[in-house]
Amino acid sequence: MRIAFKELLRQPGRFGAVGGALTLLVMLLVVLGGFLDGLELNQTGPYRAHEGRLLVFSEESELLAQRSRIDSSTRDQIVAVEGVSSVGGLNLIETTASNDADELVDIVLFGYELSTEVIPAPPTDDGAIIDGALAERIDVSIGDQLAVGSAAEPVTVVEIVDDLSIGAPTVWISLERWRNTVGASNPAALPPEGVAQFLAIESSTQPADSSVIDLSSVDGVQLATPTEVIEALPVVQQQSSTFEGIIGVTFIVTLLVVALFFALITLERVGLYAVLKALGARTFDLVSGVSVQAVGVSLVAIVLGFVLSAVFVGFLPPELPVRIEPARLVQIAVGVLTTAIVGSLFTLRRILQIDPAEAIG
Amino acid sequence: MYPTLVFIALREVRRSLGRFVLLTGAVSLLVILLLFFQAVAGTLTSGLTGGLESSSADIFVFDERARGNPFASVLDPQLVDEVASIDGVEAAAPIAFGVFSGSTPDGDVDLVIVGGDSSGPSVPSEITEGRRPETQGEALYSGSSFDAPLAIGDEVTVGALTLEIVGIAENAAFNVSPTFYVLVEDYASASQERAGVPIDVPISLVGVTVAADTDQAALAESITASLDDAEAIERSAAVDGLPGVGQITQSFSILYLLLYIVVTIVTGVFFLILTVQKKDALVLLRAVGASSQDIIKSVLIQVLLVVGFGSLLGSAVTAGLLALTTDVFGASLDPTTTTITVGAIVVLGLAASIGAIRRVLAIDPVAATYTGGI
Repeated sequence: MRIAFKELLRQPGRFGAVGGALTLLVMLLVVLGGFLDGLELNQTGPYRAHEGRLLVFSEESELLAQRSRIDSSTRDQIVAVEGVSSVGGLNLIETTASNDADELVDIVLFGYELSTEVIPAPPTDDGAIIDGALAERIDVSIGDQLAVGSAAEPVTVVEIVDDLSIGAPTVWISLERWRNTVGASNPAALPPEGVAQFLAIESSTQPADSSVIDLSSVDGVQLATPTEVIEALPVVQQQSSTFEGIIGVTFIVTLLVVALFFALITLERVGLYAVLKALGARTFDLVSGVSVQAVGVSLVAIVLGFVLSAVFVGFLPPELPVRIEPARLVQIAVGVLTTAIVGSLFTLRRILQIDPAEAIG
Repeated sequence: MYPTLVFIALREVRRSLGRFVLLTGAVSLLVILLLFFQAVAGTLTSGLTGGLESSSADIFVFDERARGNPFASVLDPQLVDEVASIDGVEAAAPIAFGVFSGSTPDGDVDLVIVGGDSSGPSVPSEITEGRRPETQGEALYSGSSFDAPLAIGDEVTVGALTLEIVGIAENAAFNVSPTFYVLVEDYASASQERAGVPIDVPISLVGVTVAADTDQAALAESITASLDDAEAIERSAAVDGLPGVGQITQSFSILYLLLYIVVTIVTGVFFLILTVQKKDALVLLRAVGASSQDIIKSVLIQVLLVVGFGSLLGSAVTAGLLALTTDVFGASLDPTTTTITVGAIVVLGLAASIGAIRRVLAIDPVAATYTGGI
């Protein structure tokens, strides 16, 4: 094993080819993982902002906000349920917003009533809380005015909160202001008075626990945690399974590349291995030496790949949904190291076949 | 010499089958990823753009603040007459979009209702089967690749509104959702029922047919100049400007680029290492009279075999996978795109062998007279 390690240090160029290929594969894995995490996180910000609360949708909506409608009488029944301390309505609509320079951007406008750990209480008057992504995209800050919707309803930015996107950046205003704004822009999209698309519940014991609050007495509603709502999103389900399958295939390609290159390198050194075996080296020693080299090359490729990926992602347009998450990087590093070790074991058969007598020709 | 070259190339492949199989496997997996991405991206893009792309309108008039997003565009229905009166406009029709929850024979689904005038530029230009709606309660249907298709005669309910499918149009969906083209009165009644009050329902766009011998771009500019708070966009520009299309195209382009680079590097490095390893044999071949060109051709034959076979295998597996997952992805391989991709991979593979070729060119036959150790 020491010989293998020393070879790695003294002749790094020999391993440059496989290291380069692995670095590119690590970059591909990081970018794929970045897209998966970016797409998922960009679609679920408002729901994750309600962690610690419970959400209520109409029963036939399958936990999808655009299909859900809850009227005021149903809401009153929910308020009366034991364990429920507060109920707040939420509505959302896709629209646009512009800054003072008339730069237009797509947004999702939320009307809400209850604050959370992440989202402050609904602003009064024409105040609005905006997503950090929106602030970055059209360069707005606290105190600036935005014009929202086709009727260019003015709102004043009172706070900026990160990570609230739902496919597009979001703007959060009071539910009452939301109804006025949507009514002015597109009355056809306005739900009837007293109707909310879905509700947020605070319980008397926070964080709210769905096992403690029993809504079985209320007809036509479904209670869920934010995590359950996220998992029910078709776009999240499809994206997760697709990208995770693709990432799995990329790991297999990594394994094949490592197996291929170390098989070639082993072939080159058959004579050397024969001498080592003649001197008493065991097959295990030789194979573990190859594995050490595979791990060493992979470690360098992982570090280089991560650095290059970070630089590469930095050059991407900000509207592309790529987010590099530490947990994903750890997963990729462990995956690459594992495939490198497994790939290096493909040389086992060839090393087993080496006859020490070959050392003497 | 050619039969000899092919013989040597194939013989080497047979003797080192494991290595070549591994490389072919890696190439075919990368081709699978590439073709899969292309198929899914194509389906997603057409699911977003199909509705506008297939429209009979040459120009669309949007709300100026909508950023080219049909679902964020809100216009006064009276604008239709104003647009129709502009010189160069042959016909104008209202187009109103909305996403509704409805029930189809396959269950509840989000769907898009497009209200318009069947006789004007507000419906798809081509019908695959049946006809356009002529009365209230009828719909022209265009399916999304991700939902089970419906047939003529099927009924869809949206609240109190029941629509019977009287025609089908291919690739004319909006928002990657089942899309139903109805008369604007049906759209209005669905909107009013959802709002709970008899509101004045706005429209989303005005579709415009350009008169003969009229320049489209000039007419679009003229319409924009004539209207307050509205802009006219030609159909192709409107399609390109749809939200999400640019993002999808850019995202997938980045992934294609990385995959092409990985295929090129992996192939090139493999053949470089192989060439270095058989240097002694190549020196001998050169010493007995083989020219550099002969050896290079042998290398190129092997590259063609590996990337060609890997690409074909990858294409076949991708076609099979997409056929098995039609319900999930609704995608299939486009023959033209596949041919171009396979061609590009083969060309890149051949170009990647430049490293190996340079090594071959550097061989000096006199090296055959040297002795070497381990």
